[in-house]
Amino acid sequence: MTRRVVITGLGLTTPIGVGKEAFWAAAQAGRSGVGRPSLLETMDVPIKVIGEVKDFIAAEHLSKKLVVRSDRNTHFAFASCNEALADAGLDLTTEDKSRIGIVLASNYGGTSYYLNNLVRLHQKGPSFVSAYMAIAWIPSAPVGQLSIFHGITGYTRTYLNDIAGGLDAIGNSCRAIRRGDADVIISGGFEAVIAEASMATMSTFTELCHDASDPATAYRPFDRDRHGSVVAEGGGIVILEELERALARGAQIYGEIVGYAQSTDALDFHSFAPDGKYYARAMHAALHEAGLTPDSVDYFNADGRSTANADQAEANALKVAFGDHLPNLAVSAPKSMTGSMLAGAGPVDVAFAALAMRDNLVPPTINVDHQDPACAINLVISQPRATPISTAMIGARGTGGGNSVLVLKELA
Amino acid sequence: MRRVVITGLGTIAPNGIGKDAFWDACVNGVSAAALITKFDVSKMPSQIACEVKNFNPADYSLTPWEIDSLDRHAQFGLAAAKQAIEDAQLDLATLDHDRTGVFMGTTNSAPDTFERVWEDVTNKGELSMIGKQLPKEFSYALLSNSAAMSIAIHYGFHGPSIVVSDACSSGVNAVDQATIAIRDGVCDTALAGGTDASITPMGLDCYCVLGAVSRRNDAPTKASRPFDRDRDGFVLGEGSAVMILEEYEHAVKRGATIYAEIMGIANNTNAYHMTALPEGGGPLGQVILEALRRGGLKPTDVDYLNAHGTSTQLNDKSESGAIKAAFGDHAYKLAVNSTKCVIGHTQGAASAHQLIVLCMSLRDQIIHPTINQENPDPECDLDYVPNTAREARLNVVMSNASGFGGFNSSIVLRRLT
Repeated sequence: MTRRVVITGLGLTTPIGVGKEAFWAAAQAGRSGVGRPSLLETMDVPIKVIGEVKDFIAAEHLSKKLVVRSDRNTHFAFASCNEALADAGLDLTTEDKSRIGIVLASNYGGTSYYLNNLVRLHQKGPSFVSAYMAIAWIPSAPVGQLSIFHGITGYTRTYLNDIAGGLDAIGNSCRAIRRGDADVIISGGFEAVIAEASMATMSTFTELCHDASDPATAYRPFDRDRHGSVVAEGGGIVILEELERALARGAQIYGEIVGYAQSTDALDFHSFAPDGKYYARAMHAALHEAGLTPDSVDYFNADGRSTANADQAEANALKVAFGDHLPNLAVSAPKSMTGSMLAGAGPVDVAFAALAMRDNLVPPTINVDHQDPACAINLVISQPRATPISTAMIGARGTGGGNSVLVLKELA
Repeated sequence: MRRVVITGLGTIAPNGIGKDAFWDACVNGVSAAALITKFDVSKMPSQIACEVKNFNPADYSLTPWEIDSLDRHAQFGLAAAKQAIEDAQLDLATLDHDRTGVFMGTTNSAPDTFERVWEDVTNKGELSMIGKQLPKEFSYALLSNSAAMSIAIHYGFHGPSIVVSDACSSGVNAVDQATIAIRDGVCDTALAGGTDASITPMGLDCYCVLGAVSRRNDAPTKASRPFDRDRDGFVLGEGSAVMILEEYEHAVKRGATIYAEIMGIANNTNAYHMTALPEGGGPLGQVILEALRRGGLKPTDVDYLNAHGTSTQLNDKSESGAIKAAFGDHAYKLAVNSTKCVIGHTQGAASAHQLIVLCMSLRDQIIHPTINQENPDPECDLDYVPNTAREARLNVVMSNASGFGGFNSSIVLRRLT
């Protein structure tokens, strides 16, 4: 019999709130977490609109020693992991830790550590580089540090797949639990990109919004007057657990992961295939795995990259995948509030969808003043929409044309 | 269950480009280690590496955009992918591109491009990078998943594509992803492996400050000496290895040459220390047994194990302990070697290079030597195939990987007869 996988805990470190409650309250209020860059106050950062995690004190979440030995992405991971484990009611000290896994996504890794030490290496000399440089820099640093801190000896992995990576971490974790590689997986993704190296790198990325008169209105997916996505830092953890185990311990269950699929446009690095054909194929494949038909999906959490090409391709993919059901499908891109947390986006979107399902409330897309007529979707704008949600689909797309789709369902 | 086989090999290795040149060099014990010339190492305690020399991306049908814009590691990957496709004699005209995926492993995506550009625009850190003129396609060169996406885009493969980054276990874990995708029925064909180009000032120095790299600068080819008593650290390497993985029936139907069947892959985690290793090998011993169990095999079935064997004091002792813990008496009957003696530690590509070695070993029934075995270490007392290649009957072979962070992987391959 196939093992089933459910979500039993959430932990969030985002520009609209650290912690699930603050996060969800902001989402319901349609509040933007995007503002002017403050973390790099001494620099004239070329990207003037950014989603920063405000008032984050790393030492509240991990030891002072480890704060110094790791980058901010690892700090976020510890904060979210602590919250998610508590939310799931899991006490790891009583668990068989060879049956617990950690699977996360990253892109830039410990980018602040890298640049600070590069300056030291070249300006002072090779012996001035931190002994923790190698292990703070690697993208797998958060997984390694969490595994050591919690004594977790089970299945671990780190994925790099741009904005889709976090959703891939969760989809692949679900498969690992089904295969029996683990019973519980701490899954998600984090990014700490408000740093000189990553800001400079991303300033050459033309799909990003670099400035706006009002930062809170900068990220406007599916709006006629959009101008790119807004970069943000943060991420989240989703606790995935084998169903029987979760039921046996009386855990709260946000929902079941019933389908996951991935495909690649393979067009070029600069654009998504306008017809959305392969994105739609991933949607169908995820539904097929779930044994569901398109008309059973109530809510679609969109990638919402906020370029004409990407938004229209996403709308076209939805048209192909959902056909006549499309007008009845509530669609939103709540990352218009948080900004795009790159590897952190997937778990945060899964959290949006899980909480939407719990409260039967679709979190809104903000800043849509004039919906792009070429994106004829039932977009939830400005205010949350109360509607029964028993099945939700989450879409994520990476630069290079990767399409990832996850399906969440209320536990029947 | 759908079975997965390896039908094509491609590699850019420091001691040979292409599977045949690489394999010849391994069998003949030809090391690529030499003094680093691409940047100033005069103040570094370790000044040696196994660099890939004479790599010209234009030789591998890369497009002008790919040559101008992509990082060296992605170019290595594209080159190895082309070789693997040709080696497998895949007919791209009839291949179902929708059911072909790309799974690549790497550690830190693009330090080669980043550090080159950063040194230039900041005058080696005197100035801030902010506000400087950067190459137009810089963000694509730095894209974390470019190793997989560049291959998918180049060939138009529409199946899943992703990059795995589990430090030194990245390559074999990418092969694991591909194997799962084929077993699950998502793909019939996959390109999988690892690629890394991290021989940069920081790529080297971050290991210097840890004391993890060899300082035998006066005798570079003697520096990587896994299991030898006088080993003093690994030698940094670079390169790529890409394999064509195929569903068994799919391969048979098209008359493909099959190097090996992937019998089992397993992963676990030390949860011990980011860089140090547990006494006696710890979870690595268990992961070897788990990979065998998944393949329906016993420890005594294994003829040869290609070790992680980095040439650090810690790893080689700990890994020998893990092999003994897993195999018991059979540990002393088993041939063990380490490819890092001739190519150094190719990081995210290392465990993929090891798989190319396993496939070639099965094909030729030869085990390449571990060179530089001069003074045995009493704590490393296994048969490391010292200094000379050996003919052997090889059916079941394995390989280990163990990465910073404590990520262990083990894989078992079997020859199909």
